[in-house]
Amino acid sequence: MAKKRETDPIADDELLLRRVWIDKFRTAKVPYISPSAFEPRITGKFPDTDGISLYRLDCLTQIEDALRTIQDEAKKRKTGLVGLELIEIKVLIEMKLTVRISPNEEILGHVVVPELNCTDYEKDRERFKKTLFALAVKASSPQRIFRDPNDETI
Amino acid sequence: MFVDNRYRNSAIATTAPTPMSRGSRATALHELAFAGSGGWDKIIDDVLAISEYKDDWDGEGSLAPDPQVVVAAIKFAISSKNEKSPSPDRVIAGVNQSISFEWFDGASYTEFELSRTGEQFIRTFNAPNLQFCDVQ
Repeated sequence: MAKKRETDPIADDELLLRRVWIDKFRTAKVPYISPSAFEPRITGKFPDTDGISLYRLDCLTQIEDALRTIQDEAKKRKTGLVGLELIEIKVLIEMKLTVRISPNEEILGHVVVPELNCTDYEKDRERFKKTLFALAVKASSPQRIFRDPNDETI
Repeated sequence: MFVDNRYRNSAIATTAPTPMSRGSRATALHELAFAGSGGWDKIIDDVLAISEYKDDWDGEGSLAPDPQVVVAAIKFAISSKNEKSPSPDRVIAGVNQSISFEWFDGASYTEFELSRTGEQFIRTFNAPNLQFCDVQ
C-alpha cells in the first residue's frame, strides 16, 4: 500500500527515485553514481522534453514499481534506483531546481525536474554539468542506493 | 594522436569552457595523478561492450552510441594505454550517443567526453568534501 497519493504535495524530506543504468554504478570508488545518470535525454524515443523523470517512493507499493515501463526483463535487471530528497534537489544553488508532479498512466508518483529539460540542455550543456555532478554526489551516499543492479541477489 | 576536434577544458567551478590544444589535452590527462583500479584493459573491454549497444540499449529509448564516437573512444583508450596514461575508473555510454571516461581521486572528479557532435570535452570538478572509499 502506497503511503501517499500522487496528487499529494511533495514533502521536503520525501525521497524521489531516479533510474540509473548499470554502467553508471560501476567503479571501485565513490562517488558511485556517474553524473551522467542525471543527464537529460535529447535524442531517442523519449527525449526529456519536460525534464528528467523521478518517482516518489511514497507513492509506490514496492520499489520495483519504478521500473515498470522498462519492458525488457534483462534491461530491467540492469537498471538501478537511487534516491534524493526533494530538499537536496531544491538547495542546489547553481540552477535553482524545482520538482513538478507529472502524473503518468503507468507508474504512480511520476515527477519531473523541469529545469533539466532536453531543449535547454542542448543549447548550453556546460551550464548543467556542475549540477549533474552535485546530484550524483548526493545520490552516491550508500543509504541512497535503493537498488544496485550489480547486486546479484536482486 | 587521433584528437583533432575542438577541445575544451571546462573547470566549471571557476571558469567558462575555453579552447584547449591537442598538446594541452594530453598534458591534462597525464597530470591526473591517479589511476583506475581495473587498468586500461578492462576499460577497453568496456568500450568494446558499449560498441555493441543497439538503439534502446537501456530500455528507455536511448539511441546507440554514434559509430564515430565508438571509434574515437577505442582509439583514445588504446593510445592512452600505449602512452601509459592513468587509466579511468569508468567508461560509460551517455543517453545522447556519447561516451565518457571518468577518473576519481580524493579531491576531484574528471571526465573526458566524446560527444555525438564530434566535440570532445574535459571537465574537472573539485569535490573536497567527498569521502572516498573502496566499494568492491
